Amino acid sequence: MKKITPLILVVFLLSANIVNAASLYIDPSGASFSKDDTFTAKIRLNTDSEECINAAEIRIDYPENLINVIDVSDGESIFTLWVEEPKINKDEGFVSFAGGIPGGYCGRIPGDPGLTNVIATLILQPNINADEPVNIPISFTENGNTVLLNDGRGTEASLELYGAEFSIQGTLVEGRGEWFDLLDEDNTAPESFTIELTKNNQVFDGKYYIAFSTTDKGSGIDHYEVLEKQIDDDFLARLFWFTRDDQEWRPAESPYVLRDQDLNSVISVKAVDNAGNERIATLIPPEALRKDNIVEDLVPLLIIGSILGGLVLFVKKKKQSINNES
Amino acid sequence: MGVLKLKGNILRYLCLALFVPAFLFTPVFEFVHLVNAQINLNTEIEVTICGNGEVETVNEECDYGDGNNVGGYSTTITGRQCNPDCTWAPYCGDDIVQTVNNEECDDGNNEPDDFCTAECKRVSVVGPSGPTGSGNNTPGSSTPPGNTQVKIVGKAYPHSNVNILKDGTVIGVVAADAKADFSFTSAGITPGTTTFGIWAEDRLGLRSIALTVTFEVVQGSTTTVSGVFLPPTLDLDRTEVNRGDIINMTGSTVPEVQVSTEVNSEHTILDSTISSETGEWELDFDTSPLEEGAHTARAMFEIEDAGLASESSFSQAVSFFVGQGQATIGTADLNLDDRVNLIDFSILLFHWNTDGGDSDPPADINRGGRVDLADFSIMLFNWTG
Repeated sequence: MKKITPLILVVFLLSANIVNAASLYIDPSGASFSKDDTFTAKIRLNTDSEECINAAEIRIDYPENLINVIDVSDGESIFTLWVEEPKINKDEGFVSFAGGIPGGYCGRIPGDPGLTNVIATLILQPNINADEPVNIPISFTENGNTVLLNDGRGTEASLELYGAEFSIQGTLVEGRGEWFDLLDEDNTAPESFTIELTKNNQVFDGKYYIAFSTTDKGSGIDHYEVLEKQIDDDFLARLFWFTRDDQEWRPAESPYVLRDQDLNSVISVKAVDNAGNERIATLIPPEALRKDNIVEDLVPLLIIGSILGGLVLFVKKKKQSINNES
Repeated sequence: MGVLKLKGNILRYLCLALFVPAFLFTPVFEFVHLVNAQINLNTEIEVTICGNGEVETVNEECDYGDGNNVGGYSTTITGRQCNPDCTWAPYCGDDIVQTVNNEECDDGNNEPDDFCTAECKRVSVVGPSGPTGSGNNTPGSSTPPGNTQVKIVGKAYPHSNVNILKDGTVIGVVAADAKADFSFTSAGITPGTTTFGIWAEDRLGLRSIALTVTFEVVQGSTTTVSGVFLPPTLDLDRTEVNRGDIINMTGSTVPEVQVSTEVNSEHTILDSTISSETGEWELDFDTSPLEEGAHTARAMFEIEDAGLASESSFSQAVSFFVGQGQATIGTADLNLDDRVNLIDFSILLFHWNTDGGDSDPPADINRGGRVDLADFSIMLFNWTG
């Protein structure tokens, strides 16, 4: 399905060695595909041997009338934290995102069996049916890309950019393409992770919130969901389980402000990768932080008391009236 | 949430009230980088993969390939097995008497005509006193074949706790010995692109930067990362001085190595000293050659091992000011809990693309007027997990 143009690749590899402080490039730099094929193009980063980088802001342009970017995967990414999740602007034909790596990335180390320099992977699908080959350029937006050095000062690295050009001809004969093959093969769940529960007077009006993050070594993280489930720690709650305010899984992003600010719920976060594999992390808020609402507890007791009192009075009156009648 | 809970409780107690009579009678059931750096770096971090069939450098004694490094005792040198960590499994002829494998002697060979037989039995002994046999197949390691392991070996500070991060999250803490050597092994690593970060705190409470290595973890193999040398820690006795004052630089590193310092100015100023037996180092720096303004200092060490010289990377750059003024970069520990981790990142995200509001410490870490990629970069540089 994919034919890498050897000449373009050789020219590219030679040019890619001319690295200043950092260079961004698209891999492969040239290949042939068919309409409806789904293929991947990796955004890779090379660094100068004496430079480490730790953050990047990427923007890539594509001809939206010729090709669709159907997804952006962080599956093999060296970045583990994202300040701006990948955004696909189908109207204007660009993809943008920003992320980073704690401690920095200092290039490939001797002995590493992989190139290990992927920042993200674009999932592309041509939307034209061409009898003759049509060339589709994918390029880094001029002045839209920034890579910062891991120097503790946020210094911008000098950057070189290398785009790619794909050729489209014919229609896909069988299968759904490389990306769907990758999804079929991915049976690895996202990495295990923990949930951080915190509050800070300066954010979210001092409300409790959670922070979480994980990575997926296969197809990449697709989304997160959060569930807050009431802790059934009293007899009545267990007895009348059917009256619980069980919440459902809700799509979420980190940081996430908790709905239950009394912290009387078990908090679960589910990380789902692009192939549908899931990893769930759970946190039971510490007993010391949970808030018992006395008013809430007293009101139901008063209501019960009133109802029971009313029942007793009603029965007494009934008995009295029966006695009076007899 | 409070309203929801109240509704739930009301419903429960109503149910209780309505069904109380029935229950009464029913049983109830329960449930700085300096651009013009003058020192040539030669940090040799290397990855070796145990399980790829190639014996690589000093970290491996053997490698029979994926799934074949199963360990187990061998009665001969030629039949010796390779452990899952690419060290030789016990065998008759390794010069070590393994009584657990019924060896009575081991003279380092399989020659029959010396005092120890080819099967590691004493020649002079008539009739073995212990159990006989060719030995048990005792694996040399508990690691099952196919397990994916990563081993990190390097130098930190004497008796320091070394924190190991995987993809930004702490997965272990290991103690360095008196020589500052440490070794950490983690099993059950998911194959794929993985970043390991390593940082330590010395006995003075000073922290190193997080040294990171990113590589492809191979399934079923033991990947050894060697040469992880944490740079010296560095502290200055003052950060605002008059020109000509002496700044005292202190820190910790590997015992008895050369520590080189670098102060940025119009011309980079280099100096060096030797660390003590316990790894502490100290250097008085004369600020006379510096122009007025902001400067940074950083340090690295050089070590010679078996005739080969190696160097650490540079420490974090510590800022100081000559004349009147102060460093402009604030702290990345935005919640002041002495760690830079996911919680600080969440605060940064809250203020992302704003001026940082009234955040204190400011989320606009570099005081650039906006919480942006540069602030994120500074946070990642200071990350502790």
